[in-house]
Amino acid sequence: MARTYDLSSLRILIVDDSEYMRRIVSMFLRSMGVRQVVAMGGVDEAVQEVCRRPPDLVVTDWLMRPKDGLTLVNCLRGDEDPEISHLPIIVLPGFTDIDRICSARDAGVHDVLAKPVSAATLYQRIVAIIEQPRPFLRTDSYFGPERALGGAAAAAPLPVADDDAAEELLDI
Amino acid sequence: MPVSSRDQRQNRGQITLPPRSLARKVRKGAGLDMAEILARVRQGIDEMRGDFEAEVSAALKDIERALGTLSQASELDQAQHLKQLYVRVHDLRGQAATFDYQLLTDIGSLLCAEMEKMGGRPDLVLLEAHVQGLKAVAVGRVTGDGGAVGRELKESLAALAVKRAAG
Repeated sequence: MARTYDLSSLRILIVDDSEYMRRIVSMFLRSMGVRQVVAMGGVDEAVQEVCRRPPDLVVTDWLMRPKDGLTLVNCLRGDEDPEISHLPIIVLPGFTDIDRICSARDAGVHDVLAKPVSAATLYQRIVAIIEQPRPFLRTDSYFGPERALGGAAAAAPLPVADDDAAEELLDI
Repeated sequence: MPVSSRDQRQNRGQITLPPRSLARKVRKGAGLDMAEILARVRQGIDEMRGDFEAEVSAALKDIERALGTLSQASELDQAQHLKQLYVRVHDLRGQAATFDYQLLTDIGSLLCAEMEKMGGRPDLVLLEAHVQGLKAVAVGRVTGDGGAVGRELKESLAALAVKRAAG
């Protein structure tokens, strides 16, 4: 039987320019027992919020306007405060093509879950971040969680688009 | 912040440890199990379902408006308008499957893929066909993958895309 976690003390920041998606992801997280869910519609306000009070985890869309998820990740990973630069980040992009998923991953995020994503999968990925906290690697071209022994360029399991799980789970 | 010398020695970059650990903030063995979480999510989705149908209706109006603007735009502006259309379809397809409108997600994905191939030169006939497909699914409240009709609709859109690409 899978281990359970009381997530009620976590504070999670959602960033998505779609108000409706913010509501959906917020509902998912609250259903998991997370009590402090903060939702922001843009990168600038998200960065301000993070600086004001760093959350425990950031869940963000990728294709946003006027600034996108890459800009957000670069801002956070480039921050001088290690509490901010080492924040766990999960990206929920709308695309499923492997090149763009890899580019999101290479920006230094913890996980990329292509929509439609299930609540169950999102929970499992949060649990993975809890159970297997990863050290961060800084090279000339990368700063983010270490993916495998051998560093950033090493082969690592790619983030999975969750289409296969959609049949039995509830999807974004 | 702790820095490992292991990788520095190996010239692979610098390793640092996150200053905060999520594990310290959660209680293991407590909280909800997966069945409870999914039951709560189902309830949440049921509560949002009515809103979603209004959201689809608003999204389709936006999409049609964006398509209309695109069709009248100068060549210089077409790429920008195509991007706006893409963003709206992209949002809709990301949400629809949650509410059991898998076919909307599927057609939205086909449309996004076609728009990505178009670059700055939109094929209005192909765009219009996909948008009409989205409308048909929404108006008919076709849930799930739409069965045989859904397959036929997707196949006809795919065939049209091939034909248009062939010129």
